[in-house]
Amino acid sequence: MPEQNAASLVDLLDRVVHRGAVVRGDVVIALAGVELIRLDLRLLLIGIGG
Amino acid sequence: MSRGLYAYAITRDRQLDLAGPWLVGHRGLALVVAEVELDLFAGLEFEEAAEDSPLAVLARYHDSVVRAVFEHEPVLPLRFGTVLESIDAAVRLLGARHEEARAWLDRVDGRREWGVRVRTAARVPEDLSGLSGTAYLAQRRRRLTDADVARRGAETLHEALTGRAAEATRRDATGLLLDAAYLVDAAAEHDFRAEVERSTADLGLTAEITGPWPPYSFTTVEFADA
Repeated sequence: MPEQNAASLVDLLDRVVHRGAVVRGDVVIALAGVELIRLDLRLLLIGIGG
Repeated sequence: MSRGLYAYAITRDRQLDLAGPWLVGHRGLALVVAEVELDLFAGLEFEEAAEDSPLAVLARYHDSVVRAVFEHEPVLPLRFGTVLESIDAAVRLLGARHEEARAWLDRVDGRREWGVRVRTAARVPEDLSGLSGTAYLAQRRRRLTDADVARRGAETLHEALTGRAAEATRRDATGLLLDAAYLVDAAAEHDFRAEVERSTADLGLTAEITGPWPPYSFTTVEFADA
């Protein structure tokens, strides 16, 4: 039986922080802190099943 | 203090009451935005699974805004932390990327995302000390066979679910036999979920399903220099 609605915070962060459309160029304000968070999350996701 | 225009998503330009965020419309498309203090994002830290961390709170709010739009209109979620210079910049972006954004909205229209994950079975530690060499080898062979069966089962499940979905995307992750997302037509959702139940039962797998989600995993487009 599948486990329903097992959405954890990690699932949410994976989607919100890590996926979705990216906007680049001079219309956006680059936020260094957000880039660091993306790196941290990428490291976590590599080993998510461990 | 420095302020910017936080952008949550691109959608079609409609009347939407979002209790806070508003729409900057241009030629039938709109950016869902809200004014923010940039300081809000300066001290953010990634704390694993801390529900009350500032990042978790902001990410959940981001998701809730995207979902509020998604209830009414197709949506292209923007990645967390997308902050635009000004309303002018928002209009410029919508103008420069109009055709592209419209095509992406058409592509996800009427569809929702479902996540499916299959973990490798937890190994029960066994006492091997009393086993003879032959028994040890037999047990080792059995374990390898089991692992192989599970791996092939996950492939079969992925193929079956891909057949029920408009699009599928998959990621390799250690310790997971399957970590995939499927973009499913509203009309096919019932069949998709039934397929998950049936296939996992047939294949002896345990799957975790998450969703429905806005199409986060299917809008990995880059709107470069507008």
